[in-house]
Amino acid sequence: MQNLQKPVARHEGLVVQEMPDEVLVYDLNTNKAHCLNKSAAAVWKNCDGSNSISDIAAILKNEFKTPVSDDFVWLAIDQLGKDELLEQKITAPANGLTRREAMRRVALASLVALPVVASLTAPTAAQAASVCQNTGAACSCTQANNSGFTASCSSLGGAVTGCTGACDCSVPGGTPANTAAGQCVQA
Amino acid sequence: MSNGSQQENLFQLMTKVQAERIRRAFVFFREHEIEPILVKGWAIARFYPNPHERFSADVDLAVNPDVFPTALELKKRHLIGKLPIDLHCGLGQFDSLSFENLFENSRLVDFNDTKVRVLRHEDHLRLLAVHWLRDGGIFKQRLWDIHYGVKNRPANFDWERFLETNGEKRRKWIVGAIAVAHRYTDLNVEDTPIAEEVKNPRLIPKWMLRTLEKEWNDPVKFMPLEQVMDDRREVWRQLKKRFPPNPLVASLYANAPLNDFPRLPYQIINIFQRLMPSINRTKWQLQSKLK
Repeated sequence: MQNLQKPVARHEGLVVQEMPDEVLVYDLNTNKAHCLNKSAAAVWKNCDGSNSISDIAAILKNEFKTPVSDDFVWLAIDQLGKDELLEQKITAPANGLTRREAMRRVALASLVALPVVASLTAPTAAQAASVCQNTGAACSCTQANNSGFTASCSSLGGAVTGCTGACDCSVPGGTPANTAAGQCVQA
Repeated sequence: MSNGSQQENLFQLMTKVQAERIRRAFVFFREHEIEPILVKGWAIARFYPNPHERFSADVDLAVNPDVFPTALELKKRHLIGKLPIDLHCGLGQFDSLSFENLFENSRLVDFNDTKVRVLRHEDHLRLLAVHWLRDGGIFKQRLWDIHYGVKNRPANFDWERFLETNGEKRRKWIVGAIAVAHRYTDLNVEDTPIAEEVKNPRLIPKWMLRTLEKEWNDPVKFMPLEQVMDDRREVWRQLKKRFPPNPLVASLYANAPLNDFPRLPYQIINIFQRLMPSINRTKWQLQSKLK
């Protein structure tokens, strides 16, 4: 069956960071970050309003050098729509399959990694602070923190040469609102 | 991809996000004929070797106290939930110079297809030093703001403007903050006119070093009470943490010199200084929740 709907990727209000294997997208309207794997990103990039679902499947087939079905593209479109990364949400023609069944069918038929749009937790100022300034290397924080917390490198002091095991994420602090009740109060 | 590089990628994304937020904030306020000044965040990150390492979650903007109510109203009406802006009513709580003076000396810098107003570097560095002290020095990593602010200062940095306009007590606050950065981040001050002063081990009072190290090692970190109201245990921990008050915070709030004299009087004053705003904030928070 020909899929003639032509999805359009949303660009307004999105900040995009392209990586070799994935695309990170931040939605300024919802303040949510998403990570599109290579196949989801390929679908998204080709949603230009002129390509139909079948066209996109053909483009991906060329790009990945392996057969890609319309269902595969629909799977990506479904997730992109849910995360509001398309101008308009479009729905796949009903084929009587549940989403799980459709996914299984696509997975079995496809040699390309399934399209995945994962939601990310945007780092807080805190977590960013766990980047060791001396090396530029990001430290992995081993302790979970509550939102609004901050963190620091325990080796802060100039002698850090690597961050392995040197980070300490137990230094929360939060930033009090400084405009509470319409007055200037303590920051 | 390793967790480290994924986090690094995320920080790069967030740097772009922050840049867009700053651009939008300036465009928005300028449309309403309000000219804000960007403080902290990107305004200091640009002095870091890798600016994306100095990540901030919100956009700190200071506006003239005369237009603050309007700016606040605009923010409430149009920006809440869209742009995380921390709006400051002037900069009087951090600096003794008038907002007009700071504004006249501010600069427009090209950023992300717009011009962003930032403080003159001398003023900003002074503000960052005082801000760090007013927070009780609890954010150890923010010492790097001072570190890179001094290290990567412009060639024409005016030390007189930076130090001489605030009186002796405030001057010692600022030099003291630089001395802490020198001590804990290996900040090289040899090429500054304050090198001898900064290296003097008696400049930082012993109680201040004890306070800082205690704060940095304390597993319970300061959090606004209104953020923890749902967790009784955390409320209790936070209340315990506030008594006695951080001596550094108490000194700054009481506009006191950082010397060897006991801090107890300032701490007592501080309890009363902070009690009412804290009650107001908590009340406001609870009211908002009930609505």
